[in-house]
Amino acid sequence: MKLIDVKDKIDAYFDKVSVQEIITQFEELGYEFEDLNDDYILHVSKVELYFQEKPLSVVEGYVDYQTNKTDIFISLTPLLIAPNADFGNVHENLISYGA
Amino acid sequence: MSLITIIGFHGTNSLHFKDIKTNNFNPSLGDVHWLGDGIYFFVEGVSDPVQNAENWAKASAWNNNTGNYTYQSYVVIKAEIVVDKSKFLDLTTLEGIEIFNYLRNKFVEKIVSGKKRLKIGQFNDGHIINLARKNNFLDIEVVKGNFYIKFTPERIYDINFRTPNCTIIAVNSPKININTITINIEKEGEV
Repeated sequence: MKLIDVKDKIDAYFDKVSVQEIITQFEELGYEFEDLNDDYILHVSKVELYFQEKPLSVVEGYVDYQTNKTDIFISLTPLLIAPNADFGNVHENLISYGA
Repeated sequence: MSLITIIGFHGTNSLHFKDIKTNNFNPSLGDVHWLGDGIYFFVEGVSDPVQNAENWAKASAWNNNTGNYTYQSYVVIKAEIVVDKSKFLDLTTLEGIEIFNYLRNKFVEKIVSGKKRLKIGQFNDGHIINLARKNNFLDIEVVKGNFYIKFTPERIYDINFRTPNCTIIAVNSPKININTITINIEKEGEV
């Protein structure tokens, strides 16, 4: 099975299925979801991040200021990262860089 | 149509063999299964599948609640699984992982677009496969993957790792992919 053989069928399904249908299917399996409040979410895209004044490539994701939960997908340049780098304050970096 | 044959090994209570040989495997439906609903077999891959099936049968015999073995003797059943390549999702290959990730991202994108997120826990890979099958947009009969599975020592000493120690397959509808003629005992013994 290769993606090229099944991609159209997958796309067709997700083009027509509603968000609620997907949520319901997962809920029937025991999953629980919560709403994301837009007032507290900052969607970010292509933001420059710096670590110890060195550029860290591009990030995409969101920061939830209500819970401080940070889901950011970072394409890091490994050589720039200290082994024990702490990204706990990454959302503050985003603010300071005008995201 | 391009068929492939996989030799699988399934460890279980020896009392089950006669029924399996006569009526074929009875697929289990479970939310926690790694590769979705189906009968699970150990196959050639990162470690010895016969040994894994034996270890699984022995580990599964123990009932933690009662503190006893639920069966005393086990069998390792060998079976041939025949599947068309177009219905075989192989998560031990980059091609297979690419499909799974595409699928997973589609589900996640949909959920995120509804401004929802999981309250607790995490998504189960097997559920993604089950939902793709249930909604008829992926015709998957057999799924293969590498997993870290806990046998007796790992359960007793609570040893966990992320690097896989087994290669397994899940056969969703054994009657489609397994001819009972090929079902035989590979090994048997006491737990």
